[in-house]
Amino acid sequence: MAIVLLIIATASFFLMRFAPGGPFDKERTLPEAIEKNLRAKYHLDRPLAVQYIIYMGGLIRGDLGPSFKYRNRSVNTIIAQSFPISLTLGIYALSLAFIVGVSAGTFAAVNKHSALDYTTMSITLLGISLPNFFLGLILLLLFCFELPLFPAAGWGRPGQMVLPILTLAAPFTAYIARLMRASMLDVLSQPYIRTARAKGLSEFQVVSRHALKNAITPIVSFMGPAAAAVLTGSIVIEKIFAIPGLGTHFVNAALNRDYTLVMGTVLLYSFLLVLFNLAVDIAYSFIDPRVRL
Amino acid sequence: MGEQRYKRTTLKRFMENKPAMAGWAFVVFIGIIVLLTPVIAPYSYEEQNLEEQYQGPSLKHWMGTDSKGRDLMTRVMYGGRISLAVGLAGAAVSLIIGVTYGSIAGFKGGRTDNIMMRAVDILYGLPFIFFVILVMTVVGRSIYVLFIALGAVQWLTMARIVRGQTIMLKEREFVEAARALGASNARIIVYHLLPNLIGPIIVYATLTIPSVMLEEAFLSFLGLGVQPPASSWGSLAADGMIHITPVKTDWWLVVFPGMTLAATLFALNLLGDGLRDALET
Repeated sequence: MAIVLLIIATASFFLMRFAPGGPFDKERTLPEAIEKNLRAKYHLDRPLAVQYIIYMGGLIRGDLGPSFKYRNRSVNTIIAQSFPISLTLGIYALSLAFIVGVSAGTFAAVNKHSALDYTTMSITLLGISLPNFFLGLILLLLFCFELPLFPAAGWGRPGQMVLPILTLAAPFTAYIARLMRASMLDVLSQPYIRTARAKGLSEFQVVSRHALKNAITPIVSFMGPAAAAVLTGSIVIEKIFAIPGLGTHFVNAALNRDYTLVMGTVLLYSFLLVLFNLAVDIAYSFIDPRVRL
Repeated sequence: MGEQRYKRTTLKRFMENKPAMAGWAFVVFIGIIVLLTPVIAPYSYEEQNLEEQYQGPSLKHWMGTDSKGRDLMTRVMYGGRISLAVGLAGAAVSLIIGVTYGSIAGFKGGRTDNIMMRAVDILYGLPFIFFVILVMTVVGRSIYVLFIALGAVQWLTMARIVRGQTIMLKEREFVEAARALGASNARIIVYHLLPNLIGPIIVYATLTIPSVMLEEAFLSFLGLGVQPPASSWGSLAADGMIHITPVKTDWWLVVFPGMTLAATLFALNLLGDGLRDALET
């Protein structure tokens, strides 16, 4: 795990440093002395190997370096300010997708081939194929401007959080529902379920006590990739709903060639994902005792 | 004889799958339109008509006009050329990398296979799109960089599938026979194994096209993908978003490019799923 992060950090460091054009040769040419001082401040005047060691040394201490664009702020400050917002958005969206997806999938499976099943499955198919920026814009048009139910931008009040969370959660809800339906149908056809029914348990007990635990394993393993997709999805959502989260900063940093901020964000996201995947693996071994770590 | 019948039943299964046929029809329709765009587009791509800014859909401009009075339908048609071209080129890049990587891992087996597939597992967990953004930031935002970068991050599933199939096939007698005749490893892979893998390869290449297109739209929407004056469905939607304000909502600028993209992705996914169902089982 540490090795993966080290490789990512090294690769992105060199990619950034070999980029044509530095962060300061933009709008206007700075006087030579100032530029020299700036380069010295960011260690750009030192040999590459030294720069690499300085950066890696900082990284070990959890210091992501100064931002190239915002002269007086460090990458750590920017991330500390904006990341909690993205994190809240992501956690709400993932939880919503998990709860709604699992229940919808279970309902569809229990009422197989009913009108309810077909309706759910058609809606989820739509949910999977709609690009989430399109869904977000449509919701924005409908519920902020045509029917002003929610504020269009910002973050903090509950009303501002509804649409972004819904938009972000939609594709995962749909995917989880389909996965859950297939997995539940599979489990319900197994002999031990017949035994449970033969014992005289109600259908509700059969599903909730016996089937659910086994049917949910594919969903748990999907949570890893889902978390990755939520991170990327939240960039778009933050742009549409003007939320001052890390995604917004990341896009601006990429547009402004703010190398350290881009790298810091990529590293943070990679680190989180590696951690999250580990958590998923551990959760897996709790749910399914046959899995050994 | 047997192969002929197999082909016929596969085709029949595909034809009987109504959603897949609908998807196929829509993809062909869009394909014809974008191929003929320079001929059938009602207006020219750049022509501005400042007297007709921000017009809603009408008989004259079916999808309305944008901030500079340009015909939106024309722009959506030209945008489709870019979106589809990036999708196809990206899928081709991912196909080349994925097939090469997967067939080598599967054919070599043993430790090589272990290490190569472990690397794929690790790569699966990473937020790839960020690396594409990183590369685009560094190398510059050109359309060639875009599709190569997108293709280069989309090959993992293809590699897994090709590897699995190669492992199954390499124990068969015809591979043994080829080896007995003195064929090299490369020759066995290219001439004897890959032709047998053509089915799954086509299926996953078809399914890669929409995912590359979606990622291109995502990047273009953020302003990190296709750059003006060129435009794709994603960047058209992003341009449209600026004109949705509480004061005035020019909805068509967002709805038409977005809807065209969504419908095309949906059709491509139906087509890919249909092909998979027809070739498997």
